[in-house]
Amino acid sequence: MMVAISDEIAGLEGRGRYRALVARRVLLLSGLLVALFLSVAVDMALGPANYPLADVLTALFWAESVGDQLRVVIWDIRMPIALMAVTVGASLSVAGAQMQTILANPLASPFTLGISAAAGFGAALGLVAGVAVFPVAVQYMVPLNAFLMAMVAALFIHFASTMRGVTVETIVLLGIALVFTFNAALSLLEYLASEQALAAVVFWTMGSLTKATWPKVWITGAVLVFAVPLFARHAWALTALRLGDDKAASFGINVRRLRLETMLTVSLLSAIPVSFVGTIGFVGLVGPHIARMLVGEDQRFFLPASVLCGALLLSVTSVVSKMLIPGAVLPIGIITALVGVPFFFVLIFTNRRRSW
Amino acid sequence: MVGLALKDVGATYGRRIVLSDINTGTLSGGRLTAVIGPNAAGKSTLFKRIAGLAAGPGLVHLSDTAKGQEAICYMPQDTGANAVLTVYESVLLSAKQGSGWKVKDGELAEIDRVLAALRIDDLAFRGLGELSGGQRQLVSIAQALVRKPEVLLMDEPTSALDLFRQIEVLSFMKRLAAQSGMAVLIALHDLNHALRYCDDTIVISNGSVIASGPTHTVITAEMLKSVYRVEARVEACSLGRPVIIVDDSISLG
Repeated sequence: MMVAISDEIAGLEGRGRYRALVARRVLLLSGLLVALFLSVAVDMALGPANYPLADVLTALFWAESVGDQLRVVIWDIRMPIALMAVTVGASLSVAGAQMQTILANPLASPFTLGISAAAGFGAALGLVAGVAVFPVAVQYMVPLNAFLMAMVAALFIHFASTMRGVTVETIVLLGIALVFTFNAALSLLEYLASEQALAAVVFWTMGSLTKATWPKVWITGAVLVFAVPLFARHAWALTALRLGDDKAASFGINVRRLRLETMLTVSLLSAIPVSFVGTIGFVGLVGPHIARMLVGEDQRFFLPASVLCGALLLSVTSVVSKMLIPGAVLPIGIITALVGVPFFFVLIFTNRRRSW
Repeated sequence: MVGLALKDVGATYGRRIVLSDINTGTLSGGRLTAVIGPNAAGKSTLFKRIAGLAAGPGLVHLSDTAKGQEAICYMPQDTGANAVLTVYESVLLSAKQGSGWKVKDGELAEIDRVLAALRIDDLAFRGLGELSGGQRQLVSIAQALVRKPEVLLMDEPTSALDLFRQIEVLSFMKRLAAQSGMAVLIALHDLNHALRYCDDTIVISNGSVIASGPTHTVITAEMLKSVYRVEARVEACSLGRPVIIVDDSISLG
């Protein structure tokens, strides 16, 4: 009954096509990296005083050959903001990608599951009421509050998802309930806040990169550098989760442990950036979808693509936020969706492959 | 050749006992064993218990293998349709679990060989979401075979296949088992397929083994009546092969 097909003919074709597919993806990732570099350079060129791109590149690579003013503007003022866009965009996008992976849900993201809202509430608790969820030095109170509240939300989602009879639709509903709960609590704090504290909370809810500093960039970058290799180590296992729990378990994967570990790391990844720049919702949801459309869901490519797509999306947004009203920098949280949605629509309507 | 024997094996989900006191003789490599029984009898749970994916008492004893528990591969009924992966990637995924990122030519050659053997090499670069249920089932078999198991537990591998593919897959598995010395346990609903292709049969009902042994001694009119509540006969066809003929009357009692 079975007709043996020549291994050599079939083999060469399959192997060759797979190698070509990998090469195409590597090329695509390289293209994204170049685009990101250009976007960051343009981001640094724009501001109250616009510099030619050539001057920015000279200041970047041959800092001693440019004037003090240009060097200070590029290195001390604009670069932290430009790199903050990169690290925050990358972190939120990777966090969204792994949430969508472990919860098998295209709507999962730090924003839609209430983790951003929880982080925002935690930060506001420190900013308005001066309450530290965990007693610690004052300067770390806000990010730590944000992180701990984000953990509470993330773990709630995690444990709910392991309960019997809870479907992925239920998880999304629970996430939406968390969003409303924490937003209501945030509104209550805003209502009770002093004028100064209210301004600080409003800064949060709009999301802004303008207060980026080198230490914040380093911390956000460090969390990213810590998290990505953890995910990379589980690249095959995380990809296998997309085939279903039973299938992943049949591959020898401890699905429950992988979910818990990933969710814990995701909490860190989404809480820290949000605690520094405020609520930026769109990147964590759409960054992974763009990455998925470009390179599929093999995490060896999906993971770097999510990093690059999120970073590029927020970096381009940062550029646009400076260009819309000359001389003014609009809060990035407002612009993110306005920039991302048209691009996302183009991808959806031109991409014929199934993307979820 | 590998051997698998179950001694007082049970399975529990929380406090609920799903399987109890499952005992078998040694199921030898090179043979196909059908696991049959009504819906919700515990067939999938038995497979998960053997593969170490479900908790429970008793002993799953493997003999003549150096791989230990890794010798066993459980193949669930379906593979995810929502993953944005090609067939080729999904099979590679199975082969690469627990190893590094780098993919060697030899690993790709093995995937090519398995896809060609199952005659789904033409689907290799189609997305999983574009496949029919039957095609995905064949991909699932490829994912299992590429792991080179010594004991393969196939959970209804033919349920979504057309008649030609059912026969093709079962005869392929029978040949493969004989050639490789693999012990293959297949959960089946089509008892004529069990009669035709499986050397041994285990009958499960309500979480217990009702009968086990050589297939022609297990699948009998009495068993069909007591386990499936069906009035049927097992008779030889014009070629001398046993077939089940279901009579009109169905016992609901």
